[in-house]
Amino acid sequence: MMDLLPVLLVNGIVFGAIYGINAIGFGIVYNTTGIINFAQGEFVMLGGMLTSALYAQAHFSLPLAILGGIAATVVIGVLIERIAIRPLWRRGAKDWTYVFMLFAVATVLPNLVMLWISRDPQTFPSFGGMQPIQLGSVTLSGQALWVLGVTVVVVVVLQGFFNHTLLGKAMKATAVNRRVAAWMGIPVERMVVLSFALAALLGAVGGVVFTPLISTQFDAGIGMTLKGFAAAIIGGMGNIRGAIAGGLVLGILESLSTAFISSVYGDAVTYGILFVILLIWPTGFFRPLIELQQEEI
Amino acid sequence: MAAVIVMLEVKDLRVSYGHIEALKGVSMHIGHGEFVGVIGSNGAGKTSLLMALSGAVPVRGGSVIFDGQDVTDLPQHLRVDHGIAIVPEGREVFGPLTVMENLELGGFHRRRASRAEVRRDQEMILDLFPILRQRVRQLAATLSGGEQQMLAIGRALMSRPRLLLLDEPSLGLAPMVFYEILDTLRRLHADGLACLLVEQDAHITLGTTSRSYVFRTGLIVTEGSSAELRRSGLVEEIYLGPTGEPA
Repeated sequence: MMDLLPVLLVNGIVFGAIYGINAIGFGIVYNTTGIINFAQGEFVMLGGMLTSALYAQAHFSLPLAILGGIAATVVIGVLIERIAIRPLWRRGAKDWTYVFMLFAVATVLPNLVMLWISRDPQTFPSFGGMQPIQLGSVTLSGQALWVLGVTVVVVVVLQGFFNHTLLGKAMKATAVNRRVAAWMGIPVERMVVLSFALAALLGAVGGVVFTPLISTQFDAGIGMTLKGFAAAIIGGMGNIRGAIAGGLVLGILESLSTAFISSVYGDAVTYGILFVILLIWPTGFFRPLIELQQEEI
Repeated sequence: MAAVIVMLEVKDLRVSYGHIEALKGVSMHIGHGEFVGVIGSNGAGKTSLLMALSGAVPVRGGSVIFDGQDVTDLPQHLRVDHGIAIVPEGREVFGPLTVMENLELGGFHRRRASRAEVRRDQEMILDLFPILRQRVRQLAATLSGGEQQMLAIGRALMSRPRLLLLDEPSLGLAPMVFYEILDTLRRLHADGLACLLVEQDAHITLGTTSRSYVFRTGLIVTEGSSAELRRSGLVEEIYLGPTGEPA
């Protein structure tokens, strides 16, 4: 069984990378709005399902289908903000109202996808262009390399955006203190739309690179929401590197517990271990972006 | 006051939070380049005035005219375009961001201006507060209270304001540190910046400003030259109540 360990680790890392990308999406929306976006996993599902629909049903070429699937998901993210969030925001709704609205969105979207696209699992071909790599006893498929490569690019680009562009810094400022950000002339409502667009983009990108590996289905979103949320909590909400680390911890735990303990109780074991981790480190492994402010001022 | 051209004209301003009226019809003005004070005890409506002027709370009634333009209902993030900047109570610097990033964000509304110009203003502010120059890469949360106050002022100056609103800048600072900051404000005022200083500490305010308004429970109870207000003893009466008991 121990011979399997490297394979299981690599599998865990590949899955964990997607959870991590999704966790960043949670963090970005949470930072600008204080809302936990329970529709985050739907973006992963939409990215995969819309791309496969464009590819298999509308006969787009694969690159075009991918671009179209991602773009359509981002548009849906923006619409969710416009329809379900902004009207509440302007009238000062309570946090739990947003949570409910987003749960409603997370229920409606899969149903529409089931009705309009398919009730069966969907997939599309691997991207190609990458040779599988042999690492000792483990073979990394081309698509697995795409997942890892895209994750690295996402982290580097986002870190650059938040640390080196005025717009990225304005989003961080909005996260720290909305009222003061508005005093600086930062259009806070536009920052909120932007955060939903970014969250949708991240989810869709994750869904698109992931789907050729295991396929996707209309109801795959909720699992992704839970895992992305868990990864975000382990990693410290809003912390980009923390989110990826949280995703990797979760992915590896899941892969090992499914193989060594029980495939039937895989999720139960994974979440049981997370439960214990959070009892020991209640704030996660990394510091949330906003907490710094509260601690030191 | 005939010599001063009016920059900010507030008429019958009303602000309420639910059923509680914080401002019950306040009328006042600030001239170009004037240094005006607002004093009053806790709950007198001083902060509500600044919140209304800076657009952070909606106005129930009355009007705010700035440079001939009605800004009463202008969205909060557009006020800085008109030249109104605020140094908020408790400083409210962006703690997880560096000192330099705080300054950059202070100039956010000038994002279409030339980079060189913005950079020059950053240099000017770092000359004004040399201690910040040693801390440009540090997170704002790690600064001392006085340094954070300097950063909050510098951040506001980055927008090139014509009217600076200051909410309780002495709060939580050692007197020596605060006097140093006050000196800087006087210099800025001498260069033509109009300031509205809101303070609980009447002596500081009356000693710094040329004209003051005294607030009590959402109304202006008296106004006039700060020097005269200081001599009159009226202020003690207002703070302590006519019979000597706290109001």
